Amino acid sequence: MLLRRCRVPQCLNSAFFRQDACLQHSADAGAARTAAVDYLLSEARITELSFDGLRLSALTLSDKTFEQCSFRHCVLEQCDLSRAVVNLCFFDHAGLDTVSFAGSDIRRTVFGMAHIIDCDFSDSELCECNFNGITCGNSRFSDCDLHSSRFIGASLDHVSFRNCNLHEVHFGNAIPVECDFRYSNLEDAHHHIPGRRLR
Amino acid sequence: MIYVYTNRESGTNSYLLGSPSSDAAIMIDPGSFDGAVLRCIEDNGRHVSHILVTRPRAFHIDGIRTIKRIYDAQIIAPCRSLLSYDCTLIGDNQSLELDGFEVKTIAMPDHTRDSVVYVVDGMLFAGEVMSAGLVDVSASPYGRALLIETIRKTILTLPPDTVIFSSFGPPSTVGVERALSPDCLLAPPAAPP
Repeated sequence: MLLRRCRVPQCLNSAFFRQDACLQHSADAGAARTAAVDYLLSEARITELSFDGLRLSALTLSDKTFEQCSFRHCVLEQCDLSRAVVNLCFFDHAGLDTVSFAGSDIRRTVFGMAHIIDCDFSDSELCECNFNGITCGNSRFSDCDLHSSRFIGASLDHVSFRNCNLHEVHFGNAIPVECDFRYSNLEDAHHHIPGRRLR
Repeated sequence: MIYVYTNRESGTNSYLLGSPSSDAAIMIDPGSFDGAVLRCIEDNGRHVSHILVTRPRAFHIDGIRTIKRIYDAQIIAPCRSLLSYDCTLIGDNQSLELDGFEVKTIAMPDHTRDSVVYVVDGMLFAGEVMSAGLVDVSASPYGRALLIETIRKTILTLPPDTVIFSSFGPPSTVGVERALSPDCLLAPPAAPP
């Protein structure tokens, strides 16, 4: 990730979308947010930009390509990212509420420590993605290729992994509650969870 | 620009970093080198100027011979020579300026004596030391405990949005590794009451 740093000394954040400062240190954060949302809606291919801390509500961003973008600490609610191509992007510590990634091609993307509620990842390629430490509820990963992805330390409540490729997927220390793994090759995953069984 | 590619045989990741200030590129742990990577370099008008090696093992270095036939790249590694090529020997806590990149080294003697990781402009290239919630399996529980302690002191103290790229598995960030549940081995020990 070759994103520019915020111009403020000691600030560790990335400079927000085409700005020289992060949202917190932006001279006009409101205008910066509006410009970022307009850009997201208008462009088909979005590369090497930071949208950290942005709140995105009820946006249709389907069929877009995201390359090496950062959405850390973002809140996405009721957004449609279906059939998106997402490569090497960062959604860590983000909040995703009622977001659809259905039919997407998502690779080497970090969702670590994100809160994922009522989201749909079904029928997607989710290879080498990092879902470590996520809190995930009422969401669907059905019919996904999750090859080499990780859910270490994840809390999974009513999450469907039905008919998924789980080859080399790590579920170590995950806490699954009422999760559905039917028709998936769970035997090819790593799931050493003391005292708990995945079904 | 960063380009990640995976060796289909070994499953290891290699990385290509395009300089922001020149047409040079740096390769990290080139365990393989094929036509797709070459096209990526040439189509972007770049050339490989430096090769960084985290550990002199086959799946980190097998692509070096091919690269050296095409490019006059300098090898930087925790050893003096690799595959009969001279290397720039690096150790702990060294700073290098490579084609506009600030590179810092952190030795990982608790992993192996000849293991280093590189911090390059907010990215950590961790080799096989750690990988998204997992620590390399060391020979003994004692060695593993030492390695985890070293990782806590040297890597988990980096800024939280530092991206961690490993030889195996998906990327991660220091913030995610730090915040994992107490069940996970990398979580820092709880503060005394």
